[in-house]
Formats: sequence, structure tokens, C-alpha cells
Amino acid sequence: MKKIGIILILIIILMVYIGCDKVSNPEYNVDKSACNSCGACIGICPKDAIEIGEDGKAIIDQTKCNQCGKCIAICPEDAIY
Amino acid sequence: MKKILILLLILFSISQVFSDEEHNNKSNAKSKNKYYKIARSLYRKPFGETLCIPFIWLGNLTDDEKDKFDPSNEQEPKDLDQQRRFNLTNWSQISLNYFTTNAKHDINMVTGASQEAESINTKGKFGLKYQHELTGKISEEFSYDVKEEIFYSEKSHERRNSFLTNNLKLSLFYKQETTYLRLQFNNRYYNPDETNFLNLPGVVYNTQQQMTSSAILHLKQDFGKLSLNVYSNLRDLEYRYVVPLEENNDEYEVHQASDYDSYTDAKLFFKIADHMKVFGRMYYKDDLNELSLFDQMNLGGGFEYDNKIDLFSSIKAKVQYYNNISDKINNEQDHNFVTQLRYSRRFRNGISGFVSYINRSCYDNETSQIYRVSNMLRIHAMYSYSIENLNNSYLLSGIKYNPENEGTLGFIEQNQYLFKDIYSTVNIKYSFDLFTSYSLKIEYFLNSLQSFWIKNEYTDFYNIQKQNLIYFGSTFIF
Ligand code: SF4
Ligand code: SF4
Repeated sequence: MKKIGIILILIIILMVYIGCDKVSNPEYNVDKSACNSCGACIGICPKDAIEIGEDGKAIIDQTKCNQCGKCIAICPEDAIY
Repeated sequence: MKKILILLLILFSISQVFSDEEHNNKSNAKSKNKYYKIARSLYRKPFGETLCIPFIWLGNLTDDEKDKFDPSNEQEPKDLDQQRRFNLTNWSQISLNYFTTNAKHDINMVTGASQEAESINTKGKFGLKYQHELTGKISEEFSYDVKEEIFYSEKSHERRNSFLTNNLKLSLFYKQETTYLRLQFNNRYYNPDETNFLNLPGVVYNTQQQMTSSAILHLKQDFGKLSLNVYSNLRDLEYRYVVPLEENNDEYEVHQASDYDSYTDAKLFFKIADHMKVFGRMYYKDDLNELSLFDQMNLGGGFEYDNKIDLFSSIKAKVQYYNNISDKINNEQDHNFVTQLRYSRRFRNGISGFVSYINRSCYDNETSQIYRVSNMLRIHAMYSYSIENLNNSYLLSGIKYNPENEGTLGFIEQNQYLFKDIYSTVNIKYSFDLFTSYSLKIEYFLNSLQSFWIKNEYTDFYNIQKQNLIYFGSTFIF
């Protein structure tokens, strides 16, 4: 049952991936399981859009972010996607 | 040069203070190995907890400890518990940086308001990083944590907006069986004279950050099958902006201003089966400034599945929907779907790894279309091995596939015991769109809790900047 559930989710994702256009404005988010809370992204963000969130991991304020992509290049854990 | 000599002198004096401890520690190779490993796990965190912790502790743990450091536990709150468990309540790390980037490769990121900033940008070569953490218990329920980090750099490079930052975190915790409460104050200070101009949203002039302060309240409460998680952050940004008095005139007028935001994130979980929870979530960002242009509210929910299949493998899944309400967010992204899957596995022969996948998609009401926001597939594998039964080394490699945000990359890292408490770490990272970096680090463990290292890191940010950084550093845990 579990396996079927996971396979279904994967198929849906694949369909979305193949059949859908990219959103017109990119959006950056943090993969919390990879973030080590180093704060490097906070120090480089030109929009003051990143803070440390509830679990000590970085979180991006989407209303402030202008999608410059600086944080993605600087993250030592490649946690921003 | 003088600065390097003074700092080396300081490092040397501190190492002398600890020489007795070194002697004691050397008399017990096994305990030394254990503490050495603790030291590494605390400050290096080179690739997150996922692979690092199980590797570091391989073979030295009780069943209870094994459970704690199981790869499936990588997201649990770690620092405070981890340090208290091992009575490591006080540790410091200091490192010196030497920047050798050629001037012709620098981009002139800094156009400071003061002449001083200009000259620092072109002439400076040195940097310093200092971290200190102190944790302790006040009583059975109450504990505290103080963290301090100072970063100073005389040279503009791709890593910071500011030449000087000082981060301070003061936390007070209250923990009972069903209640967790954290009160926290954070302060991040920048020296505005030496800070890059930023362009803050909603502010027409270029600005320079001076300080951000946050007051945080975090509460988790269990009511059996129901649990509540509320996080609230009141944030203040102090900045100054500079207005030219006349066009083509070098004279400026400096203004001081503040910017306030509050963030609230509340989740209510309900456990519907052994490994499964459903949740509802409300996230509210209140822009407390005059025009309130940057308000945002997310309302949604989903389910989480988290199953530790056995001691060696685990599977996690999360599916979430939220409605994004904000004037600043594109209509396309009003309805959002996030799917996360993660499978971790550890083998008995020292091999461990995980596969994780995150998909973000959104639905536009007006066009009735689904769009993809971001896809990320990450695969990491690590082989850890011991040399002379004591000195652990590892080989780690991974890929991250993220086509939407040009984040696709691959990396390989090897940490190797060389001889007489000397380790080397080599890291090569290649990103298709953003950068290539190489680094080599040689680290000498003076005793179980102190080490010295030298590191060289070369990064080519494609078409932007090439930088070569040489770091001298030391770690003291006491
Ligand atoms: S730079 Fe990366 S690892 Fe560091 S806080 Fe930001 S997201 Fe986390
Ligand atoms: S993409 Fe740019 S503006 Fe957005 S969070 Fe990252 S660094 Fe800040």
C-alpha cells in the first residue's frame, strides 16, 4: 500500500514536470534537511530577505526576494533550490 | 603582516594554556578518539547532519545513542541536547583568512559612502572569524544558550554584504514532557561605514544595513494525538540611506530609518496513524511599516509520513497545499503544492546515503494552468572507513539536480587521516551554471579538543569573480 502511494506520488510529479511550464518568476526556497544554519545566505542577500526560522534553518521571505540568485551560489550545503 | 603575527601569537599562547589537558588526553587513546569525534561533529558540519553524525559515531555508541544519531533523525533539534549530553558547554573557534584574489578579478561590489570604505575594498587582504557558544542548565526545566559570531574582512568578496558582522543569540529554553518553550533575542550588527549598498524592497534609495534585531517566541505543546507549534518573530532592521545633495555632486545627506516586520507561523498536527500526521498551517507576515506593502498570508495543510523502517533505513514524505495571499506575489503562485520525499539508508560496511526529492508546483486560477516552480533531486553517498581502528576518514559524493533555478551541481569530498593526528580534506564542486570550486584543508589535532588548520579555497563564479582564499584557523573546545 505504502509503495503504491509513493509510486503514485512520483508519477504525478513526473507528469507535472513534463507537462507544465515553468513559473514566470523563479522562486527560491531552502531545503531544511540540508541547511546547517550557517547564515552565509543572510550575509549576502541584497534584499534583507533571509532570516533564521523556527527550527534554526534559513527561511526566505518571498515578498522581499527579487530572485537575484546570490544565495544559491553561496550556500555551502547547496540547500537553496 | 603585523596582524597575522599578533594573531598567531595569541593562538600559540592559548595552545600553551591547554597543554596539560593535551597530556591527559593523550594518555587515553580511546577517549581521545571519542572526544576528537565530538569536536568534529560540533563545529565542522561540512554537509549537514545527515551523513556526518552516523559516520562520526560509528561503533562507539550505546543503543540509546545509536537511536539518537540514526540517519533518520537528522532534522531533530541537536545543538543544545548534544552538547549537554557530553558536558561540552563552552566552545570557541577562531580562524584567520588571507585573501589572495587578484584585483583585476574583483568586482567592485562596494561603493561605500565613506572614502574609507573605498580604500578598504582595494587594499585589504585579511579577515577574521570568531565563534563562541555557551550552553548550560539553570534547573531541570530551564536551560540557556549564548552564541556569538564575529566576522571581519578587509576585502570585498562574494561572501558578505558587510566587512564586519557580529551575530549574537541569547536563548532561554523551558522543556517539560509535553511543553517546549523558547524565548530568544538575536542581534546582527553591521558596520555601516563598510557595508555594501543594498536596495531594500520598498525603499527608493540605496541603503546600508546597520543592525537587525529579533525577539522570538517558540512554543510546542503536545495534547496526546494533537500537537501545536507556534513560532513568532518580531524583527527590526535599522538602516541608513544616503541621498545625494545635488546631481554630480559628491556630497551626501545621510538619513537613519527603521523597518519592522513580524512573522507568525502556527501549525496544528493531528496523529492519524503510527507514522502519519495531518496538519493545518497558517503563516502570516505583517509588514509593520506605514504602507504595509509586503504583507503575506499562507493558509493550508497537508500530511507528513515519517517511518524509521529499522535502525538502518528510514523514509519520510510530506505533501502540502497552501494558498498564498499577498500583493507582492504573482497571481500564478496563488495555489501552491509542495511534495517532499526522502529515503535514507545506512549499510553495515560503512556506506550510507540518501535520496531526496522536492517538487514545488502552483496552480493559476485565471489561466487554469499548473506551473512548476522548482524541482530538486539530491543524491548523496558516503563511504566511511577507519585507519588503525581509530582514525576515521570518509569519501563523500553527491549530486543535486535543480534545473529551474540553475542549481544543478555535483561534488566530491574526501577526508583522510594522514599521519600523527593530521587530516586532510579535499573538496571539488562543479555547478553547471554558477561556479566551480576546489578546496584543500590540512588539519592538525593538537589534542582531543584543539586543532589548527590551513585551508585553500579557489572559486570561479562564472563571469563574475574568481577568488582564492587562504584560511588559517584553529578550534578550541573547552
Ligand atoms: S547558506 Fe545555506 S546552509 Fe547556510 S543558513 Fe543559508 S541555506 Fe542554510
Ligand atoms: S535570491 Fe537574492 S534576494 Fe532572494 S533570497 Fe536569495 S539572495 Fe536574497
